[in-house]
Amino acid sequence: MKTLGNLLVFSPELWLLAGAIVVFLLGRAQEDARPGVLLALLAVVGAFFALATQLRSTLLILDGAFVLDGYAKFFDVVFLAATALVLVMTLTSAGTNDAPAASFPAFLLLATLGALLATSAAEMVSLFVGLELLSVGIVLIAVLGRRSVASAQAGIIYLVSSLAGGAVLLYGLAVAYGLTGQTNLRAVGAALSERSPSEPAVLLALVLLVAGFALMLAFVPFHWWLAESFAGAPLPALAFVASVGIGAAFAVFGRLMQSAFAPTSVGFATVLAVLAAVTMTYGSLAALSQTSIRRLLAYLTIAQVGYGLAAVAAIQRGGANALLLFVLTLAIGNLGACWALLAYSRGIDSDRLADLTGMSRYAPTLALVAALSLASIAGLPPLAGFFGKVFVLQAAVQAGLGWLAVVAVANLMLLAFAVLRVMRMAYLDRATFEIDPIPLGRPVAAGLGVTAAAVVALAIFLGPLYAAASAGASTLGH
Amino acid sequence: MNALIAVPLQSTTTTSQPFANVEIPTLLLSGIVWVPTIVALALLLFPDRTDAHRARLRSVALTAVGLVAALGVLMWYGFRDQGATFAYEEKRNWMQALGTSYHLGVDGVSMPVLLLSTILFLTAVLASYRVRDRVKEYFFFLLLLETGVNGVLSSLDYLLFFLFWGMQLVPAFFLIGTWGGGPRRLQVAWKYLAFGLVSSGLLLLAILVTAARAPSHTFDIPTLHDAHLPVAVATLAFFLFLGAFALQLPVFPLHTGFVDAQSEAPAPVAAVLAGVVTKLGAYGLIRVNLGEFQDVLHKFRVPLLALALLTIIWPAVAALRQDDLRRLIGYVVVSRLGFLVLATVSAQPVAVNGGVVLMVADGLSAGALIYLAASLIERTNTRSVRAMGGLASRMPRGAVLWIFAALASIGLPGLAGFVGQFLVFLGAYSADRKATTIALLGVLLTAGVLVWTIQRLFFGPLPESLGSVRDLGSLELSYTITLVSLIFLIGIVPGFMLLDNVNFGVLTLLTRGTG
Repeated sequence: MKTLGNLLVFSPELWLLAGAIVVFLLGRAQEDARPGVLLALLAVVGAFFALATQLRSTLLILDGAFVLDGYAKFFDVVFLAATALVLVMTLTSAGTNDAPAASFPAFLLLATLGALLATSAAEMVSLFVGLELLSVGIVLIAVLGRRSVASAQAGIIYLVSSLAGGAVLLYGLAVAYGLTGQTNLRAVGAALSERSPSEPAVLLALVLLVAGFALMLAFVPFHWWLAESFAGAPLPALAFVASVGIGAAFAVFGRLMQSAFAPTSVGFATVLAVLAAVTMTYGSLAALSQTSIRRLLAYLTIAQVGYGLAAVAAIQRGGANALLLFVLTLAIGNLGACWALLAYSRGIDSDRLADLTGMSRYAPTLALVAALSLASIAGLPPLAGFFGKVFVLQAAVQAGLGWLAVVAVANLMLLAFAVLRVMRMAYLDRATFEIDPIPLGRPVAAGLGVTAAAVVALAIFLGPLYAAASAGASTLGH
Repeated sequence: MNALIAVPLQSTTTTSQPFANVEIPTLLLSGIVWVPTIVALALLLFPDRTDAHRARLRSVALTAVGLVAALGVLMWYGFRDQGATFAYEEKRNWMQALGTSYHLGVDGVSMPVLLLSTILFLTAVLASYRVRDRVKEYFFFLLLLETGVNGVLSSLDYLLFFLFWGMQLVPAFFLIGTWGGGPRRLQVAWKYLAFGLVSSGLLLLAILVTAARAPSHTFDIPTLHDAHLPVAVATLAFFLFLGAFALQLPVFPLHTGFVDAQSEAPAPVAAVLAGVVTKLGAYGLIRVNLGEFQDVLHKFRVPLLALALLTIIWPAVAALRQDDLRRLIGYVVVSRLGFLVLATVSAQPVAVNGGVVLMVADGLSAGALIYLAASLIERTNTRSVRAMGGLASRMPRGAVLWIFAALASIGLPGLAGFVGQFLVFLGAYSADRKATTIALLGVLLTAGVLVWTIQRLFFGPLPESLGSVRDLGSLELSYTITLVSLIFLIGIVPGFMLLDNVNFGVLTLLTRGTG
């Protein structure tokens, strides 16, 4: 009975797994990815409803290896919604030579499954397994999303960086286990709090763990892979990394820091705050001078990772709340910006930022979504990203990291410059070439519309969202 | 002297009011704030290909600002004797746990400026007939700008205040950079944006510090006005706010970006920027720096007074040497803004009353001068004051309107500027005699500049090249006469028009700030 109960609790994950298997089987029969996308969407919807039945209470699964608390559930909802949008996104290039392979949606579902598992992992082994499933899935979707050398290259770069990140993380987990003899994160935290915070082994564990996540989340100076893989990755894989991939890594990182280090007096907050300041500053400075659309997106993402990191740095004093909302706004903004800009870049067959001139004329929908999403990424009010960043800033100030808030505000100005430059090109500069208007399929237009509406209208639903995030953050602390 | 009688009387004004017992629907302020944005978004769906399309876009935009102006006048009419509370208050739950709510409301300090804003935007849309390029985007940004400005003026929650503050910056950047006249417009727009972004950054930090250190974690402006902050925190927040508002105002020596923007922006945008967007800085100074941190303000009175005097005198001197008509007006506007700083720093009820009236009066006269200057420049094909002359014979209507607008800026009795200026000096003199005397010198300087400019523009010999200049057309007359007649009305019956309603708000604000 207990086994069955445990399995039932996994019903969202099981929906994704079943969907992946069916899509695989379907992929044997035919080449087109479109039916697979539809099936995968059904699986995501099924997973969503399965999750909705579990929203009420916190569930401990497999003797505490997984914990489905409010924190995990908030992330799960964000990831499932983002996956659904990424699935619609794959239709952008469907029916062309450039179309993704038939098994693409299956690996996307597996990667999402990994993200869901990692988010609710409360123990070292399950955490690692979830993250690895996510990484492998991302490598495969990067390779399979487009038939080109560039995307294979992107997949290999991602593979190398995630292997390195996984290895360092594993070292860190091993050291923490060796110190405490525990694998449960809370038990690790309790055991660590009895040791001296300046003990070299404790600091080694911290350094290794942070370094592992630095590789996964692209903290400066471990950011190189993100720019390189963005330069070649197919649109859906890139958008998935920029929303779910980074979001899941933040979810795990936040839980790890809160459970294992927050009870101790190890000064991890200062370390993370410095990394956050460096990462956001580097990202926004680099974004100012990019000439490539894909690299611009990469550096904007890196800058945003810095803001997420600031929330993790403040996690001992209410940063979890900000982290939840920030990842939500990050996912929305990144999905919209990657989708609109890369769809246009594909239409004009150019990655040059300067070729965005005329975008508002040849692809008004894409231009509008791009402008709104970029403005949201830069934190311009009253769009979604503005609130995400204000919550992070507020958390930083309340955690006594006032200097970090100052750096973050200064970077908001740089980001605004970087983004307004692009918006001016897309809307106001004269087009340098003539092309036919870029057509959009109906599902793609609908998906873009949903993304843009989320960017604009998030402010209206902030009340309930904030309450949900607060509830989620409070489950993390107990 | 009629003007002054209103001052001691107003606190006891309890005359019968038409709306006293009528429950005014509380969506009015939301309407005044959001109608422009809704129409702006709707404009995006309209086509923009033929002249007929563009005419339709124009009339839709005009309907929107007209509706907002009508709401403004209606609210002003219903806004009588609101006592110590905020009028038309709207409070909806937003993020309770964070201590922020959708809280709008106006008092005697914000309502007159809000009314000014709605009127100036109405005239700006009327005056935008010269814009033929990308009309849709132009009106989109102009309407978004109105939402930002009106939102700042009616927010009673700091987070909301900042949200609107950000919303007014980006449209201004696009309006200057795209529809500006000169070759330097892009550079000027980036500079304007840079100033604005720094201002927003300081404001955001100030708000976060204030909210984080307040005893009750809240962003609510009235609640925070009553809260006690530790001295160090209050000083820090005061200077952050001061920096943000001083950049927006702009004070000396930060005014160069604004003057550049004045010369490059299209006339309607320049009028809105000079008339009301700069006033947001002054409004912030009064609402926050004076209303919330009065003790700190008293401590740093001397340097702030010096800042006010420099802002009055320096641009006035610069205006003397200026030959570009649009830049000249820009300098005069900055110099006049210095009086608002003076009024704030003196912290006297009479002076602050005067400051609020002066905001409205200067907004009206600056708008009128900028529109008239644009008409002159369009007809004479030159911005150089020296190249013009004797135009009174060719455009008598233009000359009369210009003279009234300029005299209002000088502070001639009977016109709007006088009331505000007189009250500012009356209040400031009791606070600091020396500073006020020096400030009077500034008045003389701007008066000199403006009178001299009148003489150079309209009298003397008419250059031959200007022999066929036409007088103002009926469209130009419609919006300039609107502004000039309001200047007259406020000048003649200031109590009825403004002061009765301003004073209560000011008194409440000042007593709150000391708490």
